Amino acid sequence: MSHLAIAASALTHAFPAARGSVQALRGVDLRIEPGQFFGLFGPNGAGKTTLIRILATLIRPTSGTAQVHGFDVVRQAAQVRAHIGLVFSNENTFYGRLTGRQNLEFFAALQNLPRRAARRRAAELLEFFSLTPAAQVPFQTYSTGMRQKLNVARALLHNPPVLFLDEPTKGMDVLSAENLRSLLRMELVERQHRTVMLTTHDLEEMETLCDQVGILDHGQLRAVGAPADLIREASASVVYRLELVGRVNGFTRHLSNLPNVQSVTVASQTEHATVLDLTFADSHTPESELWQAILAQNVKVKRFGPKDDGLATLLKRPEQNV
Amino acid sequence: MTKLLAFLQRGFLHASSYRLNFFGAYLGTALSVVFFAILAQFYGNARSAALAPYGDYFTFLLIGGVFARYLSLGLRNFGRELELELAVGTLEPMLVTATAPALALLGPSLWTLLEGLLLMLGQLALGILFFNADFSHANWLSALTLAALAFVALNAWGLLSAAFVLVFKRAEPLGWLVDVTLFMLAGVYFPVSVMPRVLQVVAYALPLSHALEGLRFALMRGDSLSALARYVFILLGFDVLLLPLSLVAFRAALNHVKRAGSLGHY
Repeated sequence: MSHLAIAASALTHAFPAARGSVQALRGVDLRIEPGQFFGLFGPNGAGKTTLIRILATLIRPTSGTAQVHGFDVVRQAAQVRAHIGLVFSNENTFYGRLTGRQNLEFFAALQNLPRRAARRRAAELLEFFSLTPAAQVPFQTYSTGMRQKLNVARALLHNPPVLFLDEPTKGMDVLSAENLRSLLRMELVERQHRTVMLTTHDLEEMETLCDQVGILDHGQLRAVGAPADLIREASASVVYRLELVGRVNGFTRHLSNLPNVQSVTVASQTEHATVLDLTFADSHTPESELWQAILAQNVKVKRFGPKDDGLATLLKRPEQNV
Repeated sequence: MTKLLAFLQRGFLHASSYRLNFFGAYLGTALSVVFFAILAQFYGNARSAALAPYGDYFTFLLIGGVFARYLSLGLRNFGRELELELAVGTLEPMLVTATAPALALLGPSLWTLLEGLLLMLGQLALGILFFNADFSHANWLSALTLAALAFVALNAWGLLSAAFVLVFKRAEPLGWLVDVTLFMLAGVYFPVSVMPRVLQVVAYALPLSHALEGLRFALMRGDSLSALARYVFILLGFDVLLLPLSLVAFRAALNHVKRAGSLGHY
């Protein structure tokens, strides 16, 4: 049995389509240690949800292998399901006419909890997520925040060591999302040492919550690493932003002729300011030549520095191997 | 057992939350007994010779009506409940629990089957207590055996319908058959023998026709199992044919939607 919480090797999945198939995952290799908060980041259609669904045994991979908590997701699907919790991105995955408590008790029974234990566990989780006052109210009257909390509570009913969260804060207000994030990080990972895999479009969420981040794009895992390392290596200050005072004409040509400069683009221009993005071929920036050019043109610099797009930078680059 | 009870409880809570519909169903089934009584009284004086092997027309109607209703539940119930779970969005959350996929997919139907059984017993009791349905000669062992065999055959057919729902998301390809077979061909209101020869051939290709005929002989004449051996073997034949077929189809459908990633689609 592998000591890894989640592992995938050459995992591919193709959805059948009217003409041929749509390749959702292309040879994904992944290794996630127990107790890690792992984030899957990528644009729409990158394959994040497909990957999570394969790991949760809802989709069968076309080829390759994957294990969760040491169990194969195809051959040992039942054991996998006993060790995972899945938080769905869709908030409407409960019986609307049943109360929050009734919903949790039903799903607890499906997780093999005896009746009394199911009742106790449901009450604990309702209390933990501050849903006790709404426990006896039909689910269909819950707000989005309450629904997502119940969604997370359901995934924790059987105390799974591995938790998958597919965009858990989608549609939540800022405060509720912040509360949920801190609960996920502080309680589930740092205190309870669970392994969490999260997908999100929220860069800040990814950067602040995750120990490790995987960048998935067009079904391929482009990079895996700590968010700070990825940002540093990805940005490596390849793109610098130069903000000048006033409207500056013809200056881009001078900058384009500097050594190592690949391109200069005008990000914005008004009567009061000109913002330029300078792309260098590598992390070497010819600062002395740059300042000489600036002095020669007699332009006033308002700000100059690396343009930091965070993890999004990775998605803008054609290839990245970290 | 805990899971079966959880499914039953969930089904009851969900069904009873629609109060008017819930109690309306009980009222409707009670009224259907009254309808049978009126129909029997109306045709009482003009009885066909085809009814001679059975006994009184009201008991004939009652047995046909209540058993056809219950047995036909198995035919449509699995697919219908599956459609509901897909629409509500609860199917996938059930399928990631520690519950076997087959139970997660079919468990939602349990309440309807239990409720149907209770309604059927209630209808029979109403018929006996208020409208003098005659079960004085009934051979209950024969009746239970035939009912169980028919239940398996029709539920196996229902599993096929559920397999359709999994793949095509609608059970319609088989659904229309229920109404046709129930009211036209299976002999709910009249014996199959009064139908034209061609329709009789079609009728006897359906398990429900054999089930109703056998049940009537068991409950109205008290025929023993050996006397009803023909019906037992025919229904057993349907079971042997339909059950493996439906299980294979259901498994294939589940594998297909897992590969296609369309398990939760609606």
